[in-house]
Amino acid sequence: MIDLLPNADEQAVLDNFRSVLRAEAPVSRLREARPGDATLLPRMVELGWIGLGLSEEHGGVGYGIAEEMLLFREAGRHLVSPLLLGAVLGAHVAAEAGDADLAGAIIAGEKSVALLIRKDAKGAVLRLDGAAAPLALVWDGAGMALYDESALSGIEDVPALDNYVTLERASLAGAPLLHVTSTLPVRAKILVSAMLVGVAESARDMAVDYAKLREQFGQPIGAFQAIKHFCADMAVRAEAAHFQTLVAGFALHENQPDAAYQASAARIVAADAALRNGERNIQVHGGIGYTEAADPQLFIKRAHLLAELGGGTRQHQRDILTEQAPA
Amino acid sequence: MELKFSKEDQRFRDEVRGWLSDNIPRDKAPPHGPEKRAFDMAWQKRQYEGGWAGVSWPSEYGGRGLTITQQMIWYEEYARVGAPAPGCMFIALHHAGPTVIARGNDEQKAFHIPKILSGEANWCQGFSEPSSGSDLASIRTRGVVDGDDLVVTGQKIWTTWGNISDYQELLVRTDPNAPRHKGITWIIGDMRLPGITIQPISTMSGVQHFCQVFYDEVRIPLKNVVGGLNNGWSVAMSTLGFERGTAMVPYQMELRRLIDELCELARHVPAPDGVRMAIEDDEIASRLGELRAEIAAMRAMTYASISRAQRDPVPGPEGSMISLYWGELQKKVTRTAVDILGPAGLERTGGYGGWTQQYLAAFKDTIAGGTVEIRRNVIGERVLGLPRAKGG
Repeated sequence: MIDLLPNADEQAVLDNFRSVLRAEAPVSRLREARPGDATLLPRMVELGWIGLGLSEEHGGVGYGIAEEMLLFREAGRHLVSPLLLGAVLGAHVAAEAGDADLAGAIIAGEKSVALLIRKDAKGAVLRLDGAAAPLALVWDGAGMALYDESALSGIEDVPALDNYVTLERASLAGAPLLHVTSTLPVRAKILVSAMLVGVAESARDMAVDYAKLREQFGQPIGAFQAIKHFCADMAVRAEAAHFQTLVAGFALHENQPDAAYQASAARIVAADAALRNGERNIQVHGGIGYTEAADPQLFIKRAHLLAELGGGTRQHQRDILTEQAPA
Repeated sequence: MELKFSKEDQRFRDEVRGWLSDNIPRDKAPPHGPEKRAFDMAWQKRQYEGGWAGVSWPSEYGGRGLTITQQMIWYEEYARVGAPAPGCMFIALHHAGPTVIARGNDEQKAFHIPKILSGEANWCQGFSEPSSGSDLASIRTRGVVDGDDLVVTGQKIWTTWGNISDYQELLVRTDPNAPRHKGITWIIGDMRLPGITIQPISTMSGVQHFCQVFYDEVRIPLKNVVGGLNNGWSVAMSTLGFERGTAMVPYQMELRRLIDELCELARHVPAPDGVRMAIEDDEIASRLGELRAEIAAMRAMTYASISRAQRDPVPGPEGSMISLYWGELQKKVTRTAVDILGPAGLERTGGYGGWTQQYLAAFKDTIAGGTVEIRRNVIGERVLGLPRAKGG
């Protein structure tokens, strides 16, 4: 069956994500609180979101990648800290590597997992929202590694393009606690895509709402083709990215040989959608869109950050040239 | 949510694959003219005789009455083996036929649908006029009721395959005093009626598929009106529910094959530095990777459209998203080919000339069937709810 729309059960799960995040994670929180969503993450632990896609024997909720994709799309819309993705992926790594205690500790929120982005092949990394995280996670197409914080040295704060996360430079050395070479990097690519989709959709919605409201020359600016066509392109990019991400998720779920190809495709179109929608959203807002007090700037910044997780777009564009397409 | 083909669908796919590999024409379709018509119609007839015409069309008019998923599987396999594009059968199969099914009366359906499916008759579209392109509701070709006939006088243009078609879905103004959307009639015109003059138009790609058609007091029986006199705008706008989302599948599959061929091309022609192969050039590799991702996403959008069609028989405007995406992508792919070829792309025949020809032909893909600007307006207004411009 081809059905990329949520059924009643999935819709209920989605509505739950939405109602919690709308009430507890308005994007305006980012300008007030310290970065890192320090109060939001314990709530997510309590709601069982960290172990959403892990089986009950691993201490999870027993859902699958479908629900995880829905969660990360909403997390992207609300610019939730990368620590959520760190925890979810970290728990998967621990479960797959057979370390049930560690998986349980991550799911219970006892150990947080910071995401790392590699800057070069010699160990230079960036750590995201990780100042208090005892664990760190990094991956590429070949595998995913979970490190103890002690593997990082020379940690120093650095002002970030996305100033709504804390960014630290560090050096990574030594052996990881756990390392897996399964399909987890593909899963990570899909979940990052889902977050990028959320960013792209939020940017689209903000731009469209503003275009209906803001009047110039005696009519809403959304009536002008220059603005309307920006918005239409934003909608098409978000549509393509969302459904490609779902297709990738189900290809992985069904162990299809084209799962890696579909995931790379999702990652490429989702990053493009988030970056270009983020940019257009500011343009549609005009002067106000350039201010710190308005929300558009938040989304383009987050798009850049997410687009570097697990390797940048150039890498994925190379990967997909040799990955197996559907038969 | 689910993306998984049932055992029954798998069996259907195997059956389709088997039939196609035994039956597709081995010759290439002629580019235009009566030879093209003969080729396209013979291929349609063969599909009909094999039981494969109108997979999801109602069985009472000669279709198979199968599911939209099976219709899509048919098109996927169709394109995978490189079966010829519907060519001059396109309007009959993807526009006029479905419109007659949705809005025609029993007599019209019983007469026309079997003729389309069996490859006896093909159709062209008579919508655009020299002064009415994107602003279609401004058409001026007149239709005057006289006895049992509608007498049509005026001019249509961009009538693809008008010179080799049997019937036409024709929009005429039958009430010049009514508001512009209320005075239009959708009528089935026979292209051989007296008073019709057809002139082919040469295009920038050299292929003659466009025509202009002149009507000088052409008498069309009133019983050919579909959906009622002066109700033609709503008929023209009624996209069909039962095949929604699958009409673009052959084009999507064809484009995927083109992108695969382009990657292959890049492995065999030199990069701009003249030393490495084109695919080893970072910029070219990036562009090719992006194209491969975008064609995957177009397939995902088709699956989304099918998902919606299963929930809600009333079609939404999301078809505009797919056709916009496809038009832009088609141009991007052929332009990338010409860029990779460099000076070799200047030659229109010989080894790589096919790419140049396809590049030139792709300019129509962001214009025909509604320009991409109109497609963006539809998305802006009907998907996103943005206001129409004053006076627009």
